[in-house]
Amino acid sequence: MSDVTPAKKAVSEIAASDIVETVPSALIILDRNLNITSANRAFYQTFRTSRAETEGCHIYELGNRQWDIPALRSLLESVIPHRASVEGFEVEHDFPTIGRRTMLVNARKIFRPGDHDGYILLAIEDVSEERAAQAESKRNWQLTQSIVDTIRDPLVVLEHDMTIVTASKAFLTIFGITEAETQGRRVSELGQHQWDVPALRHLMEKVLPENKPIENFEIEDDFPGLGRRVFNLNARKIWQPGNHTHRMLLVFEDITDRKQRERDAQVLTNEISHRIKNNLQIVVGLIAYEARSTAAECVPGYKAMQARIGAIAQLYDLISQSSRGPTIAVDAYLREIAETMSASLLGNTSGIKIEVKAEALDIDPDRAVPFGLLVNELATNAIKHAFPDGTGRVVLSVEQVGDQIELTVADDGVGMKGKDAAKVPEKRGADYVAIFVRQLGGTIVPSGSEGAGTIVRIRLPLLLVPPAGAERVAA
Amino acid sequence: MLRVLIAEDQLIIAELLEIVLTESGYEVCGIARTVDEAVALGELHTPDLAVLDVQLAKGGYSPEIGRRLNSRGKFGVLYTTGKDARTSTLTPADGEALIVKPYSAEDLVRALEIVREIAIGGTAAPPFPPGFRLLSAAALV
Repeated sequence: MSDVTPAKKAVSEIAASDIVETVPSALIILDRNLNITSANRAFYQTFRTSRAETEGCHIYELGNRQWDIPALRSLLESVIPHRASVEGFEVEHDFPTIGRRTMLVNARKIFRPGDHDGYILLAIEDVSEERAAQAESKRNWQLTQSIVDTIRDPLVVLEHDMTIVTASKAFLTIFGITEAETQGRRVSELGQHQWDVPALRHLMEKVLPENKPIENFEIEDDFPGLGRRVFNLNARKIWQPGNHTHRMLLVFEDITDRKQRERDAQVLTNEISHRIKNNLQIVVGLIAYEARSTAAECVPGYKAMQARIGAIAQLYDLISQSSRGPTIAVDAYLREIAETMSASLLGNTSGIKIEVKAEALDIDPDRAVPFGLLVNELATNAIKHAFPDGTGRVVLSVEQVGDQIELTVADDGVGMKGKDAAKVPEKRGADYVAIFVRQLGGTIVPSGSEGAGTIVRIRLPLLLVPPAGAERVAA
Repeated sequence: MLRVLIAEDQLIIAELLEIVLTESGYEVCGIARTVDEAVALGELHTPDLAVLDVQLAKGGYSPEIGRRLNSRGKFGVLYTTGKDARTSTLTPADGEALIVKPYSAEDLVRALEIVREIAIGGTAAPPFPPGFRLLSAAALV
């Protein structure tokens, strides 16, 4: 049996020195007297020194005695003898060759086989840049904190796990808590969990974790001590240099008063609308009375009047359903009119269909009623006269042509013949069409019968006021 | 002849309703301006149908009439209202249908016919008069 120990020993020594030489951390080995027995290449490079100036020296005598500091002395002389290793010892110093640096020292006792006294392995890492970045980050944070405190709106910064990092004074006041109570807690845990309201919980658990920027997110709930409030939230991610996780900055804007005013305005509008319709009913009733004592041939005229008053009242509702802020969405308006006409004039089994093909265009509220009456008039004419056999299509369309809106009401029915038009009692309907078109500031585009059916084309000026959407595209 | 109870605080409208319904073959058993008046008339005359304006004088709310008279199954109710049909809060328990103002006389008569059909266990199919809406989807064919 041969002795493999020398070979093994050689291998382990070679491997160790290879490792030591390639490790990027600066390493030095001290003997029990704290003399340097060896150092690696990284050490010489880091401290811009050489083997001659280092090996055999006492650690405290290296350079300009930069390692001769009380804390390191106590580490090497008192701690290491009793503990096997110490990590994370920081020393900040003006090194003679490299200037002011922060070094992170890890110390470990090592034993060589056959030795009774240990050696100390010191690993030294230059963490100056890291520390500087951290200090900078801290200064930035303090600046942020000061800004946070001057903002009047409640503002809170959350860790990625939704715990509170810091909150503005306004936040603390509104939520009735102290700064100490906020540290590391979730909003829902504050106080006696009184902020665990459904709206906030939904925000924290569902909305924020999605990590999408939040702009003008409204929450409404009963908040303890505040009553029912509506808040408008904006949230932003904040990144920290050197940190992979992010924080979230959340600003609450109390818009309760504004919301209340909006709601009151809506209620008022509804009230007024209700009263108008009641009064229109009286008008219809008066007309009906007159119709009873009028000549028979005048009765259809009175009935037509009643129908149109009904149409105006209906348009009020349709208009409020299609409004986009200060303008009316023509596409939605046409669809509503088509639906209402289908419901009242056609049945489920009717062979006549009304279709809408509309671009997204806006019209001002002043023109909405005559516009609706115009569409009503044209479509009703088509429905009543174009389909003697009860089947066909009426298409309402609206598109932008140059700087105008083109409204087209087309049907694939029997078409209008000049003679018949004169006989039809609703000829007055055709007069109304001309009046409405003039009211809208538009023109009828002459279109003959293009094949079967009838097409009526009307050009109207485009909306003169910019649509509401444009204003909201701010920063 | 079917008996109809009218609840409407605008008398011009109420008078017109009476004339129109009478000409259409109904017997108007009373015109009430308030909820209490309507309940009293209803108890006295046991109507088969009712035309009730939702909002009555003195802040009265018509569905209460049906509740107090136990209308469900006893008489068909057509509501008239100035509010948008789509945002109405009336339920099938309140009555059979509603029609919005302003309605024409003929539309109202047609609406009442539809309510009559439903009340005797039938169903109804469009076309409906403008502004008419069934309160129960189940009544629709």
